[in-house]
Amino acid sequence: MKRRDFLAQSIEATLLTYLGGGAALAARGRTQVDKAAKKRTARVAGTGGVGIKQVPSHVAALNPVSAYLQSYVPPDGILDPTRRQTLAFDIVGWGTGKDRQNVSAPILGEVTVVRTPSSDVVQYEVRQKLGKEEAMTGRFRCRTDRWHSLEEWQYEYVLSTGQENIDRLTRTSQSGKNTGEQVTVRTDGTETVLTCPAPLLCRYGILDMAGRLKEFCEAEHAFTMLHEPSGLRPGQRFRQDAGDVLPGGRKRPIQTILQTGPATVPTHWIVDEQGRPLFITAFLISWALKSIV
Amino acid sequence: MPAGSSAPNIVFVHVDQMRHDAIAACGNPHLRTPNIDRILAEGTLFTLSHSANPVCCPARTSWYTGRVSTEHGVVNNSLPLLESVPDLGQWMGQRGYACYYTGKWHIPNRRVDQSFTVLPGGSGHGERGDAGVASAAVGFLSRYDGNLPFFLNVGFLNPHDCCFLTFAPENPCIKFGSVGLLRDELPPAPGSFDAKAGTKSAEGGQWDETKVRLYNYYYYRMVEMVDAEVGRVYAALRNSRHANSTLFIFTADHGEMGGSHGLFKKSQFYDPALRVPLACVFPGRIQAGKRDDQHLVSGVDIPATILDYAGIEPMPRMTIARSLRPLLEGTAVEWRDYVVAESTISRTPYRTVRTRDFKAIFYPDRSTALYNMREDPLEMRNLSAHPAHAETLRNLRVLHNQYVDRIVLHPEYQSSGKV
Repeated sequence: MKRRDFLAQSIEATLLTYLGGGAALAARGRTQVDKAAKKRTARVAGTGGVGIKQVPSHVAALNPVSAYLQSYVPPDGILDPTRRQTLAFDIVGWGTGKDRQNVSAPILGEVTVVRTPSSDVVQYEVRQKLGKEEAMTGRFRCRTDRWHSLEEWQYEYVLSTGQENIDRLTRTSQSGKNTGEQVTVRTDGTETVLTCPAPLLCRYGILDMAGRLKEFCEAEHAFTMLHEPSGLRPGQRFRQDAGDVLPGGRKRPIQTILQTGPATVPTHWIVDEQGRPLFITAFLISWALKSIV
Repeated sequence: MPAGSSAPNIVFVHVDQMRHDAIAACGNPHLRTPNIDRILAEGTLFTLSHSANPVCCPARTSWYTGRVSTEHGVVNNSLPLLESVPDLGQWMGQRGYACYYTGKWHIPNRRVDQSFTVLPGGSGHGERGDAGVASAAVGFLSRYDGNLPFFLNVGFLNPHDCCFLTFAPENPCIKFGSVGLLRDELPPAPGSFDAKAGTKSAEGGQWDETKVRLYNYYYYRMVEMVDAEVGRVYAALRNSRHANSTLFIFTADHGEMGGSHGLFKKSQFYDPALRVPLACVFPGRIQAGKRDDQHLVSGVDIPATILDYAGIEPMPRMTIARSLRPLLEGTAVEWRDYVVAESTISRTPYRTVRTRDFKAIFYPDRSTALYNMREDPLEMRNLSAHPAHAETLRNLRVLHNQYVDRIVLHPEYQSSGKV
């Protein structure tokens, strides 16, 4: 078996084991999952899967994507921080039918992150498409310090209606610079200067430190998060949600790190042994890693 | 009368399902709302502000028609607004305002694009769509260069997303398994929640005290999320050339029970669902940093206030609505001494009458409830059968019937009259 096949299957087995109906699903074997993967690929963004009865999973972190996991196949690629790579994520929704009983997990959009490392910074070029009308393109530059702290960024956020007179009115852009002591944010021509005593992070920089998030799970490691386009969220922290060892003594192959703080519903970073951030699960919106190239 | 050249711009920002007390500046220690706090510091807050009907569509239809729900007919979320009833967008658009809308609308049988120029943004979920709604409004406020005064409406979804926490009986989208990590940060369960008995949600899930506390933890985070988006819109206005020529209004359609009295979501006349934040800012014209805790106001007063500031005559049949302008500007005025809200049980309307001291509820089956709001703010002791309060109940019944005499009932609800 090729290494990448082994990796994919072991991760998948682990994920399925953690799910409520994991054992039964795992028993269906690889063929069943292959069919599901094809079905997932064929799904059109913005449409939902078939509603299923869902119960909380054994790992709370996976609850918002449990329905999506029925057809999830982890990516083949290995995360290599020394190379230019492209990571693609599905943006996964959570919803119920009108009966409020059956759950679906529609794919609402996609995020593509092209990361380019150099000796002292990592540049992330990001394209996000959500639904038919919402798009964000931006560049985020992070230092190669312990936190991968955000140094500079700029993005444009477009809500497209196809009517030029309206689209002209509603386009927003922002740039920002973080000197370490103060953050200067320029939104549509208006400049704001803020003090930022804690490290300033962005979601893309965290992708590169996902494998060592455990190091930051202490109360004193508070940070501020850029949550574009909403703004800066201060007072954030990570906590380790599950121990390193499974009942029975086997090493847990997946880390679940919980992010909490003001304006953040409990958000989990679910990272595999290779340091790949397979899922970022929040509440009604989650991200699922689908390819690394 | 058409809007004159000195007519102010108006920005009406509304959120969905926000309790009146879910604001840090009002003393709530369980959340941070720096942006709404700023709005309160720069404007006037009505602490006795009530939803006209604590359900989305009826409350919103009252905002936009100036009529109470048994007048406009949208007494619940599925009944249509009559085509003949004008709304604020149509009314102001015909009288010299450029009317724009982004985000949640939710008025049945009235397409928003029939009344407003629609800006993009909004998706049905706050977590997904509110950032887009704010972005559209921010872009508009920095770029609008039209000749007409504008009326910009911004409808956010959050903290309404808390509804989903009760969906599916096992509540699978709530990360209950992580509650141990959050235990020290969970807000307490509401004082009226029976911790021993727990409760069951309408969807069938069983809720104990810890779960109710986690529900409210999520709820407060959603309030913080929408606070950030409200703050973006407010900051964009303050940083724009329209800062000193614009009336800014912030409110919610209804509140959230959050486990109070064993209930979730809305539709109730208990204060957590009925009372909502309402704040207005207009630099140099509205008193800054004022808390008005004397005057009983209703969501139906908002359109009257907007039209008053715009210099436009009221829409037809605004029977109950009153402009808040004299209260906001400190002008002496005789104000109402009771406020009425409406709701439905099985499509049958019923009402509550609130004075400064008491709240009476007159149910469709002719039963009643009476609470002393000063001595019993959690509404735990129904005094309606207490002989010492018989006269109070009688007086509130008289006020109810005075109200019915003043309104013009929708043809469908002619039987929903006096009690």
